[in-house]
Amino acid sequence: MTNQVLTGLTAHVVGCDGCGLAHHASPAQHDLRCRRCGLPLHFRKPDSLNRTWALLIASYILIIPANLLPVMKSSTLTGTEDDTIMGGVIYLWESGSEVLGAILFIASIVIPLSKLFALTYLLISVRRRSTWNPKKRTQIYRVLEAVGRWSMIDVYVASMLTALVQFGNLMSINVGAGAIAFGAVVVLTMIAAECFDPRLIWEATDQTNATPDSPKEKHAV
Amino acid sequence: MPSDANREEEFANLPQPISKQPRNWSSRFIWIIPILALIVGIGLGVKVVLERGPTITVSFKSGEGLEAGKTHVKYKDVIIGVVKTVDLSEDHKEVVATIQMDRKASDFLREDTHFWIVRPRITASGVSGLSTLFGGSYIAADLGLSKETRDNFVALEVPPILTRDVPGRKFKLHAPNLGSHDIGTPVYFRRLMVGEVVAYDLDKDGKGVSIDVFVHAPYDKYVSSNTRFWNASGIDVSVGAAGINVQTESLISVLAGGIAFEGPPPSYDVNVKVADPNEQIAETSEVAADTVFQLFSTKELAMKAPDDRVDRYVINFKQSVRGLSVGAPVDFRGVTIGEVLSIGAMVDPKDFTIVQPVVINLYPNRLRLKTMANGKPYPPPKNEEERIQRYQRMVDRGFRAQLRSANILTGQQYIAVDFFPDAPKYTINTKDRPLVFPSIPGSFEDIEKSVVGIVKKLDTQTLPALDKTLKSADAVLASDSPLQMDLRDTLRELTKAASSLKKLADTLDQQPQSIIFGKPSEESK
Repeated sequence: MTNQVLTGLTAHVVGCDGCGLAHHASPAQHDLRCRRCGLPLHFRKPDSLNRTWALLIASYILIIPANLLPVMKSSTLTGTEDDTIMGGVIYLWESGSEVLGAILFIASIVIPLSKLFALTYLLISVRRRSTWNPKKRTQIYRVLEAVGRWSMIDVYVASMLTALVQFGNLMSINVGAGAIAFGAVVVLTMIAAECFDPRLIWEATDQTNATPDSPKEKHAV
Repeated sequence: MPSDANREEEFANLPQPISKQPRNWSSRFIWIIPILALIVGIGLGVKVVLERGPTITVSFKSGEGLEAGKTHVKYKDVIIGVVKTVDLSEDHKEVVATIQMDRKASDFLREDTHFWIVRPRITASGVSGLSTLFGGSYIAADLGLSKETRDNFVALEVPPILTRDVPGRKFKLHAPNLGSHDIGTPVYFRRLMVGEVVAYDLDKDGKGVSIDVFVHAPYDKYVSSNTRFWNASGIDVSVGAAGINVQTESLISVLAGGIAFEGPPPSYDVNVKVADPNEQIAETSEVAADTVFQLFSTKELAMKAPDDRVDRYVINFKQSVRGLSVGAPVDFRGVTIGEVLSIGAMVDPKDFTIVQPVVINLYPNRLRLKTMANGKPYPPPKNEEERIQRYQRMVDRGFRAQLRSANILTGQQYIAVDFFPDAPKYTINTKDRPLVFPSIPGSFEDIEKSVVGIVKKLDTQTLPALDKTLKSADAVLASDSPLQMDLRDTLRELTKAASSLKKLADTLDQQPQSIIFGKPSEESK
């Protein structure tokens, strides 16, 4: 115990997220509440890995229809046309707007996918108690959290167009099933990222440091 | 810096949190989300797979208007599929479109289902496919009826006028030529537009065309086994022995052409027997679809009673047949009993005898044979021999053909047949095929002959006499002729007489008494 890095967990101290009041509690205790404001207290986000995994898997499942099903159904005099995300990227690229195509590709395909993969990596690394570069991993997490909401642009565009472009027979745009799935993916990954507790990244390191070899020096420095 | 122990003590002094009842369901509750996602995902996938029907290929002559992912396949204006890819066929002769059909349209894969590209079309009878002007072309489908299935089709070049779901029946018409008909040409029944031409094709032997007409329900029931179809195309102007004949159907048919049909004309034949009712029904009963009819060129021809017996003869005219045309009537006292099939000319190289053979068709049924005494129709000849015998008997009685002028203005001629008891005897050669029909000089020929006779007489007798008269007249009138001398003397005497008469008149004027007392002497004057 004495060799351990001092964290809230090791010190048996937990602060209230709502009012900041510090409590003395054992990590073994569950379902605690703040003495002052009544908010639930926890050393780590409750059930973090479990929830993140669940939401992540749900995202993995939904990203398949999100990319295969049409995001937008535009019907004009010429007939109806279904556009998938990738179809839009290809259309933009082929029609000469390479930059726009690239933006759409990055925002709608690269980012959501890389988010999923990054979160998966973080989860696995935590589960395996990896000690590799916890700082970098925390950075990954921060970027992931920050960038997540921007993927909703696609859904916004689709829903905006749906609301604006309603000219009866002449032209109308409707949201396809893909947009709903895509929106669900973005929301789910955002919640998953929220559920993930980056402090878990450091736990393994903390405990490795707790082994009698090196922690002293680190601690001393 | 406080020691660890101190710090722990310090921490221990911190307030204790409130403990509450544990909720042990919360950790499992979260897994409902991926399960839900899985259900939704599988649901969407299954929906897509279920909605996705079969894939078919349709080959087109050209890829005009075909766009992968955009061109739809429509049936009754409902989308039932979409073109996935457009490629050239392996031999580069056709364009092959791969079409993803909808699930609900999977039973369109029938052997005789038709596909074609809908483009704007403007024909005389209407405009179609206008929506494709704005909306781009699409592939239309017509559901087949066959039970056989297939998944590779060849698109129609020309859209069918009618899809198979239109009630009515199709009939086939045979015609020597297409005339001015086209797909979409209207079909009229008593000037009512009841159908249209849906297809036409050259006969395999190239000797005619077959035209498919579609008659809409409920008018198709008026097409019976003895219905006559004829060309109502444009304006038919025919100059025949009957003069100028102009026939039109309606104004549209004048512009766009048309086909008309009607039942047979009512028969006013005195000899028609009251048929037993069953036979009558059989005669006018409806006919099955695809029944073949003949397309007549005019209503007149169509309405003619069908001639079941046709005898062919050749008439060898010795005079010019100018004015006689193919199709000219062969007339028996005002009843047309045949027509001219061909006109020719033959010259014998030895003696330059000119013969103009005219081949005619005679319809002997139009010349009914009947025994007047009992009113019973004379039975038709049983065989060829009997026919020739009868024919010889008629020829013996003077049955002859004659060229006659039908119309002074147009110079049309026709062939009249009649009995000329004075005609010279003629024996037919029973071996000739076709049989020779003897002719006698026509009435026009007679006139011609007498005119020629008059001219000849004028030439040989009148003219020399006239010449002589002129010569003697010339002699009398010459300046040294005695008559002239006498005439001059006489004139001189006459002048003298006139002058003395003048003198007398003058004297009388001055001395009127002189008529009583005589002329006074010169002295007294």
